[in-house]
Amino acid sequence: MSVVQLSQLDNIADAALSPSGPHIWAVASGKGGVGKSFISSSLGLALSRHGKRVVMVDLDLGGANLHTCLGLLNPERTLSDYVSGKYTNINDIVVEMDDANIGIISGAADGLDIANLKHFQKLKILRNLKRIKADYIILDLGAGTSFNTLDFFNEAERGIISVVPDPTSIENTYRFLKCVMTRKLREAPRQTRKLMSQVLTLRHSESRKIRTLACFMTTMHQLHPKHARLMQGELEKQQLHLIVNMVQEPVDTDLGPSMATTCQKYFGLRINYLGHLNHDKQVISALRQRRPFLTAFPQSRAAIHIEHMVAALLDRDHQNNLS
Amino acid sequence: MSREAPLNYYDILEITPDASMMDIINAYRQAKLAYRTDSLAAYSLFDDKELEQIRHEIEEAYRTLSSPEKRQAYDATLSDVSRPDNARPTIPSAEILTLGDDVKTPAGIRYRMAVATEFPGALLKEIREFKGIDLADIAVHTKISRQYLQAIEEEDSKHFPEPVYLRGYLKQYAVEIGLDGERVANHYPPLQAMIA
Repeated sequence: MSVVQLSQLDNIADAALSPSGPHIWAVASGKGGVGKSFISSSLGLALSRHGKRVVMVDLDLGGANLHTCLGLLNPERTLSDYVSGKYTNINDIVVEMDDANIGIISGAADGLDIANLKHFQKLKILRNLKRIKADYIILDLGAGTSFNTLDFFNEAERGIISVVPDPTSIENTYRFLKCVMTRKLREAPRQTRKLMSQVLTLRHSESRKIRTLACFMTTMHQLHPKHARLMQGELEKQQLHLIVNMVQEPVDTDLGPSMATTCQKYFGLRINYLGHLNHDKQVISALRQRRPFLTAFPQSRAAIHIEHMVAALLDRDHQNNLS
Repeated sequence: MSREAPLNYYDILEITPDASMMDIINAYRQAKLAYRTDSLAAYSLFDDKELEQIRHEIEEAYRTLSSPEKRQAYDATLSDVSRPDNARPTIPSAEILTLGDDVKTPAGIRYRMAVATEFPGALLKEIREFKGIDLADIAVHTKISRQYLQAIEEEDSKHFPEPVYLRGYLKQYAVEIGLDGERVANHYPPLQAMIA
């Protein structure tokens, strides 16, 4: 057995031994420029204030700027160094922040070809995320629905989606969710997948076609309950959260609850609305000052909302641990 | 939420069958907001025809669930088909009809609610807590001062309002926790004592 295979076995054993490894949260969105890196960095800082060891990973491959949101100029080690094999332990590329218990795996000086991560390189990162020494790992993902992004997203136990009150962002959010769900169902065993495509091509008895995931699941539950439960488990493994960012008009605060309602009907899944963040020009000021927003403007409404969201999420994690 | 059965009115409003009247009203408001004609949240998931259909279903669901009598009758049809509930104690059906919206409570409290000939404060409190309804929410919703609500549950006659008001408050309170207002008001021991 070669060394590579041995280390892979190691990984599998590790995963089996410590089911309660680091919590992984992924921050994603359908559209770019809706504040993923801002939200990731702020969530991370807020978590560290609760005494948690946090490592943030910039997986916005080819468009990385999480380090800037954290006020770091030029991190000396980046993800590329790990992908290329320059460092063999993923913990060696973590760069520490000076004044907080926060590490960052940056993409600042990534190679120019990083956006086209190869399949085996993606697997290498995916497998080793859980080996990062931390209480919480935050994945700052790229916009859009590439397989890389979807796979990183689905690896997380919490998926946090950022949306802004703008039709283009909302459309892309739904598209992103559809891609995420489809990708999850692809993980089902072969027999189940076969039945799924059978049901999908089936002529629906009442002239109503299968248009929504919720409707699809209902039909599966009726025809193949055992497989449907498997699928349901796959879909519900990850808790999804929604943040409405850059709110300017009071009426925009309705958007989050409304999206949770419509998603429930369409996907048949509960998406937890975490809250909204007001549009704040000081986010740009903080970036220019090269300071994290939460440190620069701790009294701003956005900072306070972030703190509340993190407290709520920690509370949920705590309750999950108890049960 | 798992969808193992076709949509019923509760699924349409995205609530559970043990929802209180307040849950139903809130869910209806939220659904109206989410599926209104210019809703940003809905148009890219559903086309116009589907939205029309959804709005229609919401109205239909609310029309039934918002009326205690209609809801009771509807619940009965539900449990016939989809709920094999053999553990249910034998309660005369006329009794159930007067009991409001309860479906999912365990045999113990349901039975006591069904056979109760009077509704002392302690029982009311137990029913409310069982349904997970906050006293503060009832106070906001009914605009009855929390002090009075507390007095009702604790049978604290020093803080009661005049009997005629107490009767009104009792009715509203009872409806909030899914009971028949008239029945509770007629069988609340302290009020009986005051009138006698």
